[in-house]
Amino acid sequence: MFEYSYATTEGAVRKVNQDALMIKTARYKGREILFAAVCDGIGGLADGEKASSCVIGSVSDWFENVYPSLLRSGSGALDIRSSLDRRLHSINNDINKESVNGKVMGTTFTSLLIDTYLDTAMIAHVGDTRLYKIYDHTAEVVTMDHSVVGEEIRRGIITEESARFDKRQNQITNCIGAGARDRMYDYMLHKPETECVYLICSDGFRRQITKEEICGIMSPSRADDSEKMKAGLEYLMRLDIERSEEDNITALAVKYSD
Amino acid sequence: MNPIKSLLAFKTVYSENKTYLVFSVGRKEAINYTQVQTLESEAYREYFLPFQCTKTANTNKIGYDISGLTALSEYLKTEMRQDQYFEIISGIQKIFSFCQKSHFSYDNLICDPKYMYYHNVLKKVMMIYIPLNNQHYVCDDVPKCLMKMHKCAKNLIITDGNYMNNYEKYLASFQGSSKKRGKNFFSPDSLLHFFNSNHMNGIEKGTGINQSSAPEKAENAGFPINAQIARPQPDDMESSSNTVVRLRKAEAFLTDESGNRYDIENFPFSIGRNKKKDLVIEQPTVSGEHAVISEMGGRYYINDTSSNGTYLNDENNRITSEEIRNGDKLYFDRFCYTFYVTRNDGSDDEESSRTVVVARRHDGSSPAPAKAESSGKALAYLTKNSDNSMIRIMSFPFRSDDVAGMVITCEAVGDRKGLFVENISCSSLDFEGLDITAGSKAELFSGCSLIISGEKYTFNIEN
Repeated sequence: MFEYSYATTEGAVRKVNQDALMIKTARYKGREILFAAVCDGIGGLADGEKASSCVIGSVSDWFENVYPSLLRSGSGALDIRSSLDRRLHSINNDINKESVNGKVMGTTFTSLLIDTYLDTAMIAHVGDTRLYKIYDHTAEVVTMDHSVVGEEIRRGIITEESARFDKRQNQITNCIGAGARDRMYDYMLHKPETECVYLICSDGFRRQITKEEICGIMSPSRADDSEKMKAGLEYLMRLDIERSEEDNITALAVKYSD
Repeated sequence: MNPIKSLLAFKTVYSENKTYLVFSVGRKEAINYTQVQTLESEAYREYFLPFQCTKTANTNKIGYDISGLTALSEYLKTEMRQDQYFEIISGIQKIFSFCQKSHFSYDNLICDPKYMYYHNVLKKVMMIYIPLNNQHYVCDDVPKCLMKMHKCAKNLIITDGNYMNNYEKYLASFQGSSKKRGKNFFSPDSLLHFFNSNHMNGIEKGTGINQSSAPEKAENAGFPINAQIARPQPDDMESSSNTVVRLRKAEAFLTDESGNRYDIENFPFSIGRNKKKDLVIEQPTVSGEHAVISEMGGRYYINDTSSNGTYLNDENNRITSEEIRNGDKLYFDRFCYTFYVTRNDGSDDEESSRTVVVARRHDGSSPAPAKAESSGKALAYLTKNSDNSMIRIMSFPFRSDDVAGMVITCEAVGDRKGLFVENISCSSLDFEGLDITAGSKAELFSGCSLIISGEKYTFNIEN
């Protein structure tokens, strides 16, 4: 059984919301499946919005039309990963065809596919949107930020603490579209967990707040149903805006229980 | 009490996306305003951190802008080659030498790696100079500071053991020496003398480590490795001509209110209604020749040549000629553009929350970049799950004693690159539940987990 909710806003400054999200559920042979994703669009006025909604539209189509046949043909998690990867690369090519003349049009993408039939939680990720696993006393960033700052932390040049105030927060090194070619996206194949809340968010959601604050509000014992999740996400969103976040803000939360 | 100790009680203050290191001194501790004025000029930015003085009723405060800088104590912990390390030491020597030659007493420098900074972009060390009347303050011991730095540098790739030994001997010669100026007191000249009389393997004498081109030179020369001490470098670093280059599209650009980007590819960059302008704004209230952006010595300026006016950051702030910085808003009549400099040159100090993609491309037709750029950037990582330690993959094919018996290769798959793991002689190699037997291989994906001879790793690539 899944409990889930989301919150999104264009924020205090931007006129358009270039973030996009989706949460879909399905059932196969009596087992539940959930597919959730967040995209943070990049580009001028309509372009970022176009890129993020195009990716959401296309992966949603993949989930509805390709995924069932994969399951029926007995595909395993690795085949499903390859199939989603092919889909994401084909969207990448489509967006690149659209964004000619030096126009930047792209999006980040982070998704979670919990398939209780295959007993897999698959995470797909590109860019600086994040997936957290939130437990009762701790939270873990599962995805790796594809950003200049993230890269420098991994190289040991700056520390996580100093990165919070780094002014290059907005520079990302990987995304779908924006002229990027020959990129690899990240995938993780885990077992579905019942004792955590999965949270996917855009950078606008997590920049002004700490992991501890997210953990305090969205822990599995506190945010144990959709309504409380919604209230928690909205509370954190207001906190972002109070701390003068200017970007679009988007987050979704999912909790799985047997 | 040593007054410098109390001075070292710095506070870190965050304000408007900038980080400042602030310390307060009593009013009677006179700030030397002649020096403050001199320090504000450009020449000193080369060596000293920019700062601001503020007076309150009881105290004087001096705030140093350390945004985006890395404390030397932290920076030295990263993996670096010996020549890069001495590049830093040489930078410090230059600062002391500069002080000695000018009227800046180096007693006023803060000599502690925690409060010395490395500028990642300009690739140099910057120090804090305290503009106080110097007779009260005595700088910390320089050899002690160099010693501390030496302790921080745990991940040095030693390429010339003799040179290193000599340097350690040189440092040790100051041990136990009095802090007061005596026979054995440190002088910048003695360090320079050390550099001149010791010759690091692989670097031509005379061209010296004082030159910024030294690291590249060393690399081209193959940089001899002392087998006893050196960490082995991946053996096929030179085998490929296909290099990954970080591409920054333009140093400067403008964006309009819709976020469209206009690269500034030449200077002077002209703006106006006239179709021949670099940026054409087809609006009746914009002049044919409205304004010009120019560049001088890494700084950028806007000049207004219009009748309706150019405004900076505020629709009421009409300007004729002004310096512009990253993030400044320019209004050509009422049409707003934001100016950005993507190169971090010290003037890049305001965060833009708009996301930009820092693209990188590789030249050549093969889709497989196989060599890390000279900055030592890893192409991929193997993270050991048990202790989160990272094995950095600098080139493909990748082999390592840490994960013996397997190789990771990069091959073209259609029009994209693909990464493969091959079991050469591993007792067991598990890729996401699949058993890769000796002699067989599988295509990897970023984020996948590998169990190599019983030890679990996560593989991630850096795009």
